[in-house]
Amino acid sequence: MMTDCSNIEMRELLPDFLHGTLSGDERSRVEAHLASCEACAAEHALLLSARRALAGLRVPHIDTAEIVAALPRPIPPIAHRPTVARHSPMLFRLAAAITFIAVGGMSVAVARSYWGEASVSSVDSVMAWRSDTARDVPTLAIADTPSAAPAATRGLAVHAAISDLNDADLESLLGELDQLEAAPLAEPESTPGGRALAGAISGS
Amino acid sequence: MTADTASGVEAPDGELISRWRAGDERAATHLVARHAPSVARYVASLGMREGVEEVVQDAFVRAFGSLDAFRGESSLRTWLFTIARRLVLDRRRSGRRRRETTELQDGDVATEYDALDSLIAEESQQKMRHAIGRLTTTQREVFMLRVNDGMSYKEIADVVGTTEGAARVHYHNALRQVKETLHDD
Ligand SMILES: [Zn+2]
Repeated sequence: MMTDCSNIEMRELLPDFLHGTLSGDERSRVEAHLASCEACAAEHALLLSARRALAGLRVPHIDTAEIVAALPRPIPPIAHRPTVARHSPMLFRLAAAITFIAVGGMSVAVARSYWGEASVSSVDSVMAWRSDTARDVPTLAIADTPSAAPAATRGLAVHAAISDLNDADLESLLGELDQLEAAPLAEPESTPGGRALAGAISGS
Repeated sequence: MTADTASGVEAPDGELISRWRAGDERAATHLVARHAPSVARYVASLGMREGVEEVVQDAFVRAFGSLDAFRGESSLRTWLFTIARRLVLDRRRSGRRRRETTELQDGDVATEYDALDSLIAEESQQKMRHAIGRLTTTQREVFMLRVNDGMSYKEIADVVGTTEGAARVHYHNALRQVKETLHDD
């Protein structure tokens, strides 16, 4: 079997080259490299073949009109949304829950006292809020595997990210957590420690 | 944006989202038409046999119901994939739909493909499917998002809930595994 090229940068760019998403400059560099590197040319051919094979996956017809008809009514722009109080106890609970998520790695506790419900659910997945680079796109990342454990290193950044959310963002976040929490979840391998911590949060 | 983009076919997601919020239903049609096929393929790749349409629709309904949670232009697809993945996992766990959803096993992906185009599939494609089918579930998912959907490691990390570094490792392990399988066959 051919040895992989040692130019990692070029190899990393190949899938993007395949999708035509590189800048003109990058594209030229990849093209030049492919012309002179047998290993990368072979890898590019392999990726092309893989993409063709994957594109052949049987997918049912999707009725666009049906989906559009099912969509919720548009939500007014964020500036006109009602707001929730900043630095409320609920915010603290949320931050505590999220810190636990980031550190615990395998479980998440969602405090629902905001809605007058004292119950806390343990969810067998990792949910970590964070802001994207420009702090403009809070993203809900969800994982169900231990591979998410490295996210623990983000734990310290979570507080800052949370406090940077404006009220409407927070409201949306809570809505999302609520939705996810409401989803059916039954997994035998929930971590006992997670439940204990969830109880601690709920009892606060 | 100029009047040329009024049709919406070429307009970026962010512009279409704004138009939908302003009451333009055609903008939603463009967004759904743009993203639904790749979301459907992704859902199918996670092992859904039945109910793919339902999951795709549910993902769009939830995503559009929480559009104010993000204001970026490039992340609608990631958002949709993330929600769709959550829905598939929930269904898998619920057990209520165990007959519809099957955990992907080695060789499953190849089986999944066969019904579509066994008549036109070249031998090399069948070998490729076999090689991809032998990847672990996580390797296969990351490899598909990178190769088939052209997602960045950052986007992949967001969808599958891991780090960029872990996504990169999964991708390269998958690539090495595919090469070895193809070489061994
Ligand atoms: Zn090379």
